[in-house]
Amino acid sequence: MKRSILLGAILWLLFITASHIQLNIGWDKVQDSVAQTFGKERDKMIVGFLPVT
Amino acid sequence: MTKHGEGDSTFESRKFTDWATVKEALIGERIDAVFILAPMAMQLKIDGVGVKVVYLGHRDGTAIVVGADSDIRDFADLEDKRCAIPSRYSNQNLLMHKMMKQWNMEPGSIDLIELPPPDHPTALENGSIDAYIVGEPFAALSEMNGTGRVLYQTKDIWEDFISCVLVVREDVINDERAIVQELVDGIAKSGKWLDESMQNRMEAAEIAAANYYFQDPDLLRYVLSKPVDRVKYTQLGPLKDDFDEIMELGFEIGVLPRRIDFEEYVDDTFVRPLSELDWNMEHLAGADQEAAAAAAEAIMAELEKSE
Repeated sequence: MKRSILLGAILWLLFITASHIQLNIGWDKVQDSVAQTFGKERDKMIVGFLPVT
Repeated sequence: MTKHGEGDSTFESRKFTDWATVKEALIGERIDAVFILAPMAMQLKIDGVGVKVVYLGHRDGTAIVVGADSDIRDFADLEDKRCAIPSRYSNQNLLMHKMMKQWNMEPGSIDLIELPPPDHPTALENGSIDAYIVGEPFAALSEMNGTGRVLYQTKDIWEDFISCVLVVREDVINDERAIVQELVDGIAKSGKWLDESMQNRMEAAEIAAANYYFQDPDLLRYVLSKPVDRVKYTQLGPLKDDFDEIMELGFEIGVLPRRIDFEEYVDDTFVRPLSELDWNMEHLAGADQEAAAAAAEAIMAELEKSE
């Protein structure tokens, strides 16, 4: 019983963490950051525009 | 969202509808760069956001438009009239104040109201404003519809007018110089290609209308050809004198709370001479080259006739 509660808690924690990463940062960005930390040159840039003129 | 890229890198464009969201996105590092109005870029820096202007979006490409049957014939006739501007933080706003000063008019003698650019032509047509100043294609739209008349092209009243600038986060500038250089080179090369021939402009109008702006291709052809120098895509390196003038005007009329030095908010180290840049491409993929050539020929014939 105790073991299943512990397992459930861990799974829940993982799920919440993964959701937070996806919603607040995005897995793509995390992957890019990790790759860049290990020396990969950046190959993507997000350019916004505000069509107000 | 659209993706562009000539080399290995990918550039994703993301549309924003208000300035506050742009600012948040820059601070939250959700975007790396943004095309915004020049005074907005200065205000961002004054607000402590770590960004720098690295290039311009275009030069000129703005007009003051009045009703087609309006009796407004020169700038003085705008006195006591209502004129729409795109934003308080636009260079168009600064230009209106500069012109008021030149014409010895009081700063508040024209009623300037902020309106989203797409609403300018409609507001003019229904009479809720007497004039508007805006970037293309919204100036050309009223002209093409027959509801508006261009009072002044900015190229005739403020030479090499700056509207939009490319702003990049400082951490990206410092840590990822190669990709920023690729972006700036890409803009410079496509601008050079655009200004090289009328056929190139006609091809660009077709592709941009279909894939990016979602505007009538005829409207974009009009913008890019009538007159030929209505919008310019070369000389896009940020120059100190131009920006000092904008900064001074912005401070003078109270849009900017204080002055900051050019070097604080501009990084011009990515600007390379156009002679060093070549776009290895003759035509845009997917463009109807025959139609573009025919349109270009017709425009050039029309120009020769009018000369």
